[in-house]
Order: sequence, then C-alpha cells, then structure tokens
Amino acid sequence: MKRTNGILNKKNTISTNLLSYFVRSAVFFLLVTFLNILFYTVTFVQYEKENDQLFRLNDFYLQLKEMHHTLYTYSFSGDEHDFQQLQNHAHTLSDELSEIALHPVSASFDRDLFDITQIFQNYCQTFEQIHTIFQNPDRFDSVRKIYQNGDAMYQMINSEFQNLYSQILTASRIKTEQMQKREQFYLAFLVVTVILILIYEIYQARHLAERISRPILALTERASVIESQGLESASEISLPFSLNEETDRLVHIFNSMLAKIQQQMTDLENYMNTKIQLKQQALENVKMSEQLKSSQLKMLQMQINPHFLFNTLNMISQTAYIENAYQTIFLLGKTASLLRYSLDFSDKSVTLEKELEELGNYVYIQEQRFGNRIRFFFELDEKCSRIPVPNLILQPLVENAIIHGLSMYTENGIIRISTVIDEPSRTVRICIADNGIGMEPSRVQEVDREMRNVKTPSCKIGLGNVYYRLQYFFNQQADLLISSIPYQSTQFTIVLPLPDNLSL
Amino acid sequence: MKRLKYLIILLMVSMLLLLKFPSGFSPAEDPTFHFTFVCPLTWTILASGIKDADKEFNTDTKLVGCSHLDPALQIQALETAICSNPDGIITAGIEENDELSAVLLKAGKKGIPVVLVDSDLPESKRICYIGTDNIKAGQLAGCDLYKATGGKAKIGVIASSLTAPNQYQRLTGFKDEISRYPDLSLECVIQCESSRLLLNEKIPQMLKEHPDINALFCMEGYSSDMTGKILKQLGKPYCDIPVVSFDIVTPSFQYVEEGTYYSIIAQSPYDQGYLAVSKLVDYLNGKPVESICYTDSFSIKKEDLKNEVNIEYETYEWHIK
Repeated sequence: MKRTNGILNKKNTISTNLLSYFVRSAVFFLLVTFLNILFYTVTFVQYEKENDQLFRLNDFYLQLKEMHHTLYTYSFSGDEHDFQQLQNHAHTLSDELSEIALHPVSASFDRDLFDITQIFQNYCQTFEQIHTIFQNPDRFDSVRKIYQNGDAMYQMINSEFQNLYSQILTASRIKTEQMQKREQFYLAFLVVTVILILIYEIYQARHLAERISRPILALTERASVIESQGLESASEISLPFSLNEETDRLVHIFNSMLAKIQQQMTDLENYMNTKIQLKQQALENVKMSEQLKSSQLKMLQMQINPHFLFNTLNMISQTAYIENAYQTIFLLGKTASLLRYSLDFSDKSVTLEKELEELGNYVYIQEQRFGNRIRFFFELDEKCSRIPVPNLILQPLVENAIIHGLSMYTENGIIRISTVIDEPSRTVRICIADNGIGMEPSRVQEVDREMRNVKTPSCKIGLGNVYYRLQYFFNQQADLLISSIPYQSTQFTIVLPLPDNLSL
Repeated sequence: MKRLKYLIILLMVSMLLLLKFPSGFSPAEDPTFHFTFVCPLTWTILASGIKDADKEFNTDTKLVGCSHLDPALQIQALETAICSNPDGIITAGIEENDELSAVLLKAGKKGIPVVLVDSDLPESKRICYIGTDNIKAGQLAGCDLYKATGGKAKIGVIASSLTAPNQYQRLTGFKDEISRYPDLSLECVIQCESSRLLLNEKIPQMLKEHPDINALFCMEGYSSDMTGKILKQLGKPYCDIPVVSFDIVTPSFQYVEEGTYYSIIAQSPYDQGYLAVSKLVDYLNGKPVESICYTDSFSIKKEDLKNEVNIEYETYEWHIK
C-alpha cells in the first residue's frame, strides 16, 4: 500500500524543528532517568535476594531450636497438642529448607543442604516414633533412646549453621564485589553518556539556532550590500539547503524581487538609451531638414532670379527664331535645358543617364566657348545609366576641371568623363579627368580635407557641396576621390555603391 | 552529529546489558548417587581421584576431613554421614578400633555400602577394600634396603602404630624380605603415633641407644617427613645413613635428589580414590565387586625422579570436623 506523500512529508518549519529538538532532548533525558531507575531497582532486588537467604536460614534455625524444645517437652509429656505443633513445625521447616535449597550459593552448599534435609527428615521421624510409642503404652523405655538419637541429629544440624551461614556470606561478598564493579562500570557509562548527550544537545541547539538565524543574517547582509553598493551589482542569496520553510520562502521571494528589480532597471536603461538614440537621431534629422530647408531657401532665392533668366532666354529664343539664327536657338535651347535642370531637379534624384545628358549640354556649351582649347571625351558604360544619383554632381566637377585644371592651357586640353562598374567592390566609378595643371600632393590633401569637412551644403555649388550631397544621398556610402599629378593630370572619381536591384 | 547520536544510543543499550547480573551459582544436573568420603585427615590426592571419578560417573562425593588424626572425630563424622542417608560411604580404617568398626557396621545395617581405602577393617563388613598390598609394599621396601646397603646393615624401623593393620602388614612384608639376606637384621622398631613431637624425640633416642643402626626404614608418611630433617640436624655420621621412606611427602623428592633418602615407596592414592567411587557405582548398579582391590606401590629412586612429574592436583572444598 503506497503511502501518500503528504503524510510522509516532514514539515520543515521552525516550529516543527524546535518541537523535534525538544522531543529528542526529552526522550534522551527520560531514557537516562529510566535506565537509572531500572539499574538501581534491579541492584536493590539483587541485594535483597542475597539477604533473603540469610533471613531464611536464620528463621530456619530459630524455628528448629523451638521445635527441638517442643520435642523435649513432648518426649516426656506426650501432649497431643505438642505433637501437632511438632507436625506443623516439621512442615514449615521442610518447606523452608526446600526454599533455601532452591538458591544454592555453591556446589558444597547445595550438597550440605541436601544432607541436612536428609538428616532433618530422619529427625522428624523421632517424634513420629515417640508418638507411636505413646500410643502403645508398653514401650516407654525406648523414648529416651529415641530422643537421644533425635538430640544427636539436632546437634548435627545445628553444628552446620555457622558453616552454611558463612558460605552464604562468602558468596554474597563475592556477588557484592561483582555488583560494585558493575555499578562502577554503570556509573562510568552513565557519566560518559550524559556528557555525550550534553555535547550532542548543545550542538543540536546551536544547529537549530543557526537554521533560523543564518537565512536572516544572509538577508541582512545582502540588504546592507545593496544599500552600500547599489542594486545592479548585487547577486542573489544562495543557501546550500533548505533550512526551514518560512525563511526559505523569504529568501526565495527576496531573490526573485531582486532579479525583477535588476531586470527592470536594465530594461529602463535600455529604454532610456534607445530613447536618447532616437532623440539624437531626431535632432540630426531636424538639423538635416533645417539645413536642407536653408539650402532650399537659398535655392529658392536663386530660383527667383533664374526664373527671370529662363523667361528671358525663352524670349531671346523667340527673337532668334524670327531672325533665323538657328545656332543661337540651339545654344539657347541647351542653356534653357541646363537651367531647367538645375531649377527643377534640385534635391531630387535623377538617373545617371539624365545627369550625363545634362552634362552633355553643359559640355556642348563649353565647347562652343572654348573651341578647340578643350575637348571632351565620354566613355560610358550603358549598364549604369539607370542608377539614381543626386543632380548636379558631375557638372561642378567638370567646371572645376575647366577652371582650375585647364584655365592656363590654350590648347590641347582634354577632359575625359567615364563611367565604370567595378563588380568586385560593388561600386560604380564616375571619373572626370583632365590633363591640366594638376595639384601638388599637399594641395590635393588640403582640397580633400576641405571637401570632407563641409558640414552644411553651402551656397557654393562646389566640391564640398557635391561631396556632402553624395554622402547624404547614398547614406555615407559614396566617396569622392581626388588624385593629381602636377602639370599632368587631375582626376576626380565619384564612387557610388552599386544598387542591389541592378542586375548585371 | 549523527554518529554521536548513534554512539549515545549504543552506550545506553550497553548500559541496559549491564543490568543483566550474573545469575550466580546454578547446580549441575542431578547426580545419580551421593557419596560421602570421611577422611582421617585431608588426603588431597585421594580426594582428587574421587572427584575425577565423580565427573566421570556423574556422582557427587562430599569430602569430610578431620583436623587431626583422631578416631573419635572420624566416628563423629561417620555418624553424621550415616544420618544424611548417602548412597555410599568411603573411609579409611586407620586403626583397629571397635567403635569405628561398630559405626561402619551400623552403616551397613542401614543399607549404606562402605568402601575402605588406604587401610582395611575386614570386620566392618565393608563391601570392598581398596588400597596398597602392604605386604608387597613392605617387601619392596626390604628390597630397596638391600640395594641401599649392599646387603649388610642393621636396620631401624619407624612406624606410627603397630596396631594399625597397614603398618603391621608392611612390617611383615619387610621382615620377610630382609630375612632372605643374612646380613640384614632388624635392630629396633619405634612407634611414633604420627606425632611430630614424638618423632623428634624418639628418632634421635633410637639412634643413640642403637649406635650400630646404619639403615632406616620409615614405614609411613610422618616419619618420612621428619626423618630427613632430623638426620641432617644430627649431622655426621647420621646424615649418611641410607633411608628407605614411605609415601610421597613434601620433602621426599628433595631428599632423594640430595641423597638423604635412598628411595621412596610410593602408593597410588589417586587410583584408590578413583576406584572407590567406581566400585561403589558398580555395587549400586548391581554388578559384582571384589572385596579386595590392590593398587600399585612402586619405588622411586634417584634415577626415577626425572620421570616423576610433579602433578598439580586441584584443591577441593573440605568439610572439616
């Protein structure tokens, strides 16, 4: 039959611990007391038993003396009353003898008593014989002889008294010595046991107190650590084993609370961090949009004037048409396109194709200006044509090349514009190179630094501006590389990340 | 701590065990027969034989001894013994004494078989006598004396009492033996009643009165005990007198070793005791018992000493009258 868990589960509460401790102590105490009582009772009984034999022996001899006196009286009185008394004596005395014989103290005692019993029985015959003689009146003279016989036997029994008594006493003394030894042993055991019990009890008491105080101390200590060092570094309380239910629960709850608080604090921190990050981001965005707005504003400012220019160009074109100046119309058309491009597509993304198209317009116009002084070459990869780029990134570079690179040269100025897809690095490289005056390496570094340092898209549509807008458009993944060999060439390379959806 | 608890429990259990006291003496199984041995003194070796026979035949023999050699004491002890209805009595007929015989007859009349050891009283109607063939012993002594003296000597004999049948027989045997040798002659016989005082007196007296005595025969234990010392005290030439002694007493072996005595005629009291019980048991079981049963007597000379291992006999409790 299976026992249900509930009955067998010993409750481990403080009160049961205390109770079991007290019960154990009480049990030990009671056991010791019980043992003591038992021992002394048994010892006392043993002593009594020894004495009993002596008392019995003494009683026997006293009564025997009485009996013999009665025999003497009876031997000449013939009194029936005396005879009955003698018979009674005989009974009691033989009972006493057998009682004594039941507890012999030694082998010789046993035999002596056996012999005395025999003699006593013979002795008892005497009064029987005398009695029969008294019944037959003609045999009087033998009474004396029979009595003398009996007397002799009485003397025989009597003379044994001292011997028997001394045997009992000797045996008793030996037994007493044994018992004393035992008592000493017992006392020694008792003392040792009591001391051990005391030690055990003290240990148990300390252990019990510890069971209660240890978790409390742990809690207190941990709380003070938290107080001095804060919650974050605090570790949970671990107790090696269950001490009692109440404090177990307390410690468990403390630990879970600590864990929860620590968790919450971490969450809060994370939340705050995220919020800060978001705020910073928002701030940046605001800044950006503000910057954008300011540049837009500036653009807008610029747009006011350009619109006038645009309309004017239109009017000039119409006049040119009336005058049949077709080249003029063509030039004006290109100029208008450029103007439109710069007005309409500011801060919008265009395809590279479109950018190159407008660049073409610009280049045409410049070619008309400079004639043979500067020639433009295009090496374009068709596949890049649809890549989205910010507008007006190429034209400033070409302008730079014209102004800074080739202004000194009166002839054979070349500007090469090329687009290349670099697959390994997943980039598109748009290269604008001139064979102009070039720059010293120090100057290259200076320009590069200035370019990268542009914080705001200023009104200067320059290198810095292009760089800035590239970075903004391509999320810092674009680049503008400058290289130059003095008196030989200058190269500006726009590096764009290859869009993923452009399949090659 | 658990071990301590178990230790405590163990201690308490062992304390409980201490409570069981030794039960003291508990008698052995009932003996088949109860005998009483009434000894004129306290003959330990004989008693030893009796007790060993007790163990073997499952009998119980009470040892009753007398404080000194006195027929009266012996008779009193026998009376008491008879009154206690034993199955058998063992005693010794130390001397021709009518009262002693009468008591033994009385025992016989009551149906108590009597066995005599050491010395016989045939008129007592004992069922058996177990003892040394004293005539033979005397002859053995005579032989020894011849060897001791080379066949030429005048001999002095010290007896206890010539009325004792033992002594009488030993002397007869001795005289028989020495009569074979013409140069051995018996000079003097003294009786010392087993009294050491008398021995001290009479031996020097004899030696003085019979200066040509040049050999001695001590016919019983007391004289065997004292003679050596007396001779040594007397000094030359008496201490050179060859002595044939009787019975093993305390200084016997020492005297033989020294040369003070020539030989010891030893009896076999152990066998006597053992046979006494054995014959009584046989008798009570209805088996026939021969009326005389001789035990060995033998001579111990110097060269035999190494064979004589001093046997330790157990001492038993005696009832002393």
